[in-house]
Amino acid sequence: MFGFGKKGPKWTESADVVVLGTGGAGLVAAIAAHDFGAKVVVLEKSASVGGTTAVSGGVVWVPNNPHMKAAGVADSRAEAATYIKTIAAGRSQDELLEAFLDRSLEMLAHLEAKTPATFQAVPKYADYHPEHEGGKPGARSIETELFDTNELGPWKSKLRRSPIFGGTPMTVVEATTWGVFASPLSLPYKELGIRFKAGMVSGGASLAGRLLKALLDRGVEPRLETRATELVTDESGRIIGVKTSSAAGEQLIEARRGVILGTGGFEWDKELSAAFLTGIPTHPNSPVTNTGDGLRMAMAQGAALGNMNEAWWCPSIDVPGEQYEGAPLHRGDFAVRSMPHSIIVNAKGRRFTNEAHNYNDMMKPFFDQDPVAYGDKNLPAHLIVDQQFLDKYLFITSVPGMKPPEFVASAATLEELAGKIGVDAAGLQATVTTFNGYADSGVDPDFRRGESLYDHFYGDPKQQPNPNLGRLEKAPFYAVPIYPGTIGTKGGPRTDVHGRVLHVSGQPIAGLYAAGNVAASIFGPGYPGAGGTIGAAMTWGFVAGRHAAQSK
Amino acid sequence: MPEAIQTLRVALPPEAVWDFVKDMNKWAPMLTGYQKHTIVTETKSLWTLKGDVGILSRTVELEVNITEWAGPDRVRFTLTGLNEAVSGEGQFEIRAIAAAGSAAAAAAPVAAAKPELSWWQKLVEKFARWFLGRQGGGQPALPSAPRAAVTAGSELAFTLMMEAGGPTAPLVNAMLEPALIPATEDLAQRIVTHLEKQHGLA
Repeated sequence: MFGFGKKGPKWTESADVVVLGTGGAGLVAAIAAHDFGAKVVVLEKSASVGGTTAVSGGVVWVPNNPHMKAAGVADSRAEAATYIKTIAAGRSQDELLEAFLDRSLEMLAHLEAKTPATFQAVPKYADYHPEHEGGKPGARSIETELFDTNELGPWKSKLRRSPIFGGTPMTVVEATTWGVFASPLSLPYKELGIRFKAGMVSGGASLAGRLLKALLDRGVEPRLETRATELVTDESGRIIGVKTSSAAGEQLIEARRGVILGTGGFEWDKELSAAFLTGIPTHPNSPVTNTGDGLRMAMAQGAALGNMNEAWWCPSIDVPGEQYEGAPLHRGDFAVRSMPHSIIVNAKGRRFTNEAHNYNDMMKPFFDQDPVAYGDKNLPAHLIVDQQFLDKYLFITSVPGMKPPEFVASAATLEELAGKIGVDAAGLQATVTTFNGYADSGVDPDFRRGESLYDHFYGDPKQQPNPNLGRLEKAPFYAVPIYPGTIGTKGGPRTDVHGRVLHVSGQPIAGLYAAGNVAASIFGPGYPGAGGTIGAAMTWGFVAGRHAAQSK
Repeated sequence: MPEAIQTLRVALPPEAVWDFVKDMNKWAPMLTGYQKHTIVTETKSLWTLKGDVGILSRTVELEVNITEWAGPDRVRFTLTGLNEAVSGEGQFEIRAIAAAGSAAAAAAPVAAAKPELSWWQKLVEKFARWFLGRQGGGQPALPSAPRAAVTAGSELAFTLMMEAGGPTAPLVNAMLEPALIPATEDLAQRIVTHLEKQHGLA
């Protein structure tokens, strides 16, 4: 309990629902809470709105969504149910997965009817395991069109945007139509420059911007640089408010119907990461403010935790000296590793994963342990490419025709390159010889690279016989370290189908809700498709906001 | 080519301003994102700057070649990116101004007209200022209070033009443009502030 006198806490302010965080989960929770009749206060720890969602590609995974028909992809609830239960690998609850299938459609319908957040299907963005039963070749992933940030008025400068995607205002549909990965020089850079100057944004900034616009249209302005530090309870243990810290000092805000945690993951908190995660994601791709605030507050209330060892894994590449919001920028690598003429190797020069597979699952072997050596089997890891790669594809900060970035190790031979990066030369040479044979045959029997339709999304269709496999044979050869990273953790307080946080006893903690990366993911260790994290976050934000608003 | 110009007046003769400007070692640390510089020859130097592109910052290595040395009036230089596909040019120009009402004063523009910025350019400019405040080089040198009007002395104009090369240039230049404005403003302001302190005018 906090701040109790004889007459109870001295509230600075009162609301029905207090939402913590302004990512996809928090913004949708606030919109829903408002629309179902609650007076809402939204608090944001950082100086900008959008959270992890705003720095993402902004894709939302909603199976069996109404845009699939126009994209020519048939789907059904039953197929989706089969698929996500496979993805969750027995480490979730069917009740939650079933609820997601229905509530996600309600969330989508609500937003499209009542807010500027409208969507289009991304027809070619395959599920992350499209060959599994119930998987689809595309269109379960949806995205918003470009967003004109001028619509935000004085709030336009407060919208967070991605340091990577944020400078290139193009939708995923456009990017794939233009061949962003295989033919990067074909992009209309003049048009993109015009869009940039005009204030257009895409991806996560577009999604967050539209949701922020919806919130502002409802007369709700997020309180920035206001950090919730503690939940306030009454004598029964019900959550009745939050204690906050900001430039205005400490305040107590009453939440008559509930507090919704949407504070993001804990990937930037070294202590929590070391305590819980399977491996340490030393290079997170998310905002540095994701330090587990909501997790700590929920733990203090006795919340049951789930999925704590998992994250939405994603390998990272660093450009030395690059920073974002005063912290090192770790670039999530979605495409470089997938294109032909590239491999990832460990210190022995051996491949250890399907480089082209989805970022969540391809990264898990980064954490493999050698029981005898008692250490990481595959770290440090390096991404190796040859000159053919640089001649054709985007390579971190360089486009075809440019010199490779200065921080990239290069050498005339693989042996010399191995020496420069501390990799076993004979091992690397043997790996490349074997891999080149796979490139010729178009089949990778070791790791099945280029076998899935998902892999092909980030491939070069001109590359035959396999869009993800190309020989490494043209000198110079290049190498960069590739690190274990994450776009956010996905463990936290367990919730029920209404987004209510469960106590370790199994009962809901009255007045406390959680959505997004702060909570235990319903997908367990899996990642169903592009936008799986945001889709579930927005859905749980929606059900939490609605339930809290309607509770007494 | 994205361009930014900043013009400021200082109540000192051109020779005094030139005496400071001609030695790059004196003002180099005042440059936005300055990390280090090395003088190679009388006309060639190598610079390392931490520059903002869009909303991220990146370290850029530049070769600077002086193309015109015409003290105390002007020094011109070119910039060539060593690790990034950027190039550009710039100049310091020093002009004498006489008392208000004189022909010289009437002829001298107080400041070049500033192009109208889009909200995004303003945002990036704001971010750049915020970011500069976090750099080891010190806080941005924006004046904290309105400066007294200078009617006699010198006018220092710093011009900087930079553009990206390659096929992505139209997009990168759109990001680069707003970052040049605080760079020119801050350097000119820091130089003038330094000179005023040095000569007991502040």
